Amino acid sequence: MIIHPAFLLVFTAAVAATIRRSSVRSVILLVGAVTSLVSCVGLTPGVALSFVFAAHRVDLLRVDPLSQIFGLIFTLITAIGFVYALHIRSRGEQVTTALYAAGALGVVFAGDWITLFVSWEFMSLTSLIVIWSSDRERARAAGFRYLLVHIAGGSLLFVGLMLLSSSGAGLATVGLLEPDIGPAFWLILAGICINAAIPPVHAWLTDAYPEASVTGMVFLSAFTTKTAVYVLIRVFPGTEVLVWLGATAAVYGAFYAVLENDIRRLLAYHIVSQVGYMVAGVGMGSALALNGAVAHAFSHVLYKALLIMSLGAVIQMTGKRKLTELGGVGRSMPIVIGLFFVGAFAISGVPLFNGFISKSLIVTAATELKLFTPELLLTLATIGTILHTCLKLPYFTFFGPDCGVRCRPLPRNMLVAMTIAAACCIALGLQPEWLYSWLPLQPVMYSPYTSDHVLSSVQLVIGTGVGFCLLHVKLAGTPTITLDTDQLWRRPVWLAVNRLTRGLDLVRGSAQAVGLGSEIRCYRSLGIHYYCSCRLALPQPVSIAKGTTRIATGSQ
Amino acid sequence: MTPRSSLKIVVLVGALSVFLEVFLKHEGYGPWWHILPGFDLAFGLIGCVAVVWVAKAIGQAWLQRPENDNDQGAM
Repeated sequence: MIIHPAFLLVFTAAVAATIRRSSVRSVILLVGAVTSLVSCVGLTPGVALSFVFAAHRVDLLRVDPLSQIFGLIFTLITAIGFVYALHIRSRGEQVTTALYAAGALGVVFAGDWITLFVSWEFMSLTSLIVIWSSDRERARAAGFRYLLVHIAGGSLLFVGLMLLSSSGAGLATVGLLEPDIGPAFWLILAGICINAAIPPVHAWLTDAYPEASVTGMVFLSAFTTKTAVYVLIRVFPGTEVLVWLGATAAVYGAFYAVLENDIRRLLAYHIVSQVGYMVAGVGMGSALALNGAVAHAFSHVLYKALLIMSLGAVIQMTGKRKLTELGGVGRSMPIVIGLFFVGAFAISGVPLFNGFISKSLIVTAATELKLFTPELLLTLATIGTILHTCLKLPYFTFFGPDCGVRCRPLPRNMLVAMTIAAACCIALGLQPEWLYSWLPLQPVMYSPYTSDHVLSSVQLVIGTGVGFCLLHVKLAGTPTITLDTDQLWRRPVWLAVNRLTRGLDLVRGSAQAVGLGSEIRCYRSLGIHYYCSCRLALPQPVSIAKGTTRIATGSQ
Repeated sequence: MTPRSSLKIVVLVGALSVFLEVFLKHEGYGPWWHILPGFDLAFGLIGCVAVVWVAKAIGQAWLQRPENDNDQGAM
């Protein structure tokens, strides 16, 4: 009997929602994730679940090697994430996380565009709730901005799909699209690129993910961008513009990470950078590059989760998340340091770790296709990655001058989850065939452990290390924030909201003149305005501040 | 292990990798810099310096603001 892996997660989420005891809930969700993983492994290629709805064939479960490998890593990281989150008590976050993972699985196993779109939006909604589960004012504000961006992205995708449907191409199969179908191609591509967090439409990620809870960010880093990469691989392979967008994203994230003081935002910029590699691989379009994009997505989910879990452990133990507030805490957490370095070596493409066996596929593909500028850009991004994750983060977090922070004990389940992720990173680095045998385009005629690749990687690490020794003083955290591209739309949106609420105020004034009960309208108007101002983290206009005072003092 | 001895090991490994590159057979494709011994060592150093300097220069000129800037509302 074939069961959709997403259904298993939805079912366990529904059961868990009814359980009062948090520990039992956690165990149920973990069992659901493991069952879902086993179900993914057992899937065989073909369409397994479909029905006809309003003259449209809905393929809920279409299995091929591409969807299966993404399903595998999504269910694996869900299981690891639930081990990491075994100690949390928030019912809402636990249940929503399972539903979020189910949404991601719904996307990768969708056979038709309607199923994909519904799963896509379900994933966006549940990820928003995961962000809001953090229960902090900053998380609510970032979540509101996240919502606005994803409404825009979803709208582009929806309009693109409508145009695709009206062009006669139909929505029956999620498959390769060509630019000659017209605007539908570009609208769908833009909608997907927003979820992939490709600059300049990436700021939602670095804004919202770091505000999620310590456990929530582990899941957030795994699903939304990687489902976008999955759709790009399936629908837009060989789209040349993606090579340049991806290579630029890779460098962009590495440059921005230099300026970051917040350790979670720094990691978020490295998600942008690493997704850039995958997007560049999709744009190259050769079998080696596409396999590289898939392999790197697989590796990235593991090592990024490990890094986020390690720094999450630091936050859990110290309560601090800024480089300026951390330093010298390594003595209290030697195991965390060891596990962190596994993730850092993996993301930096150091031999014997999984990042090396996947990143080198993409860089080699660029060389084979004579795309030398993107290749150099990707190598520069690797230098930035080594600089931040192998050197800057550990130096200023674990080894720098002692900040005097006392560390709380770490829940044992968090260590277990990190150990599992680290073991996966090392195992795949030592045995690349285990990953290569699952890649969609077989046979994979590639060996990462050539003398050229290994020496190149070692030299990059040493060269960057020497650079860090020379410049480490400049890399110390500063108590600053860094403006990003979202500043370009925050003010126009705020102005639009301002105009809207002023219009409502005029209506209120007119209503007041004719003696209608305007107080409620006034409160509503100010409420909308204040809410949006806060959510967008922008200043309230003086008139509104005065208006609020008038109402509060009853001087209306 | 002292920082001094760590540095010695790093320099030794770097020198050894360049030495090996001179004698090892290279893959038969790619641009000239792929067969230049020590290129990645130099690119790592120069790239690191470039990433830090360029990012810091742009950041200090345009992008970095005091930590509570957004909260206070000054755009």
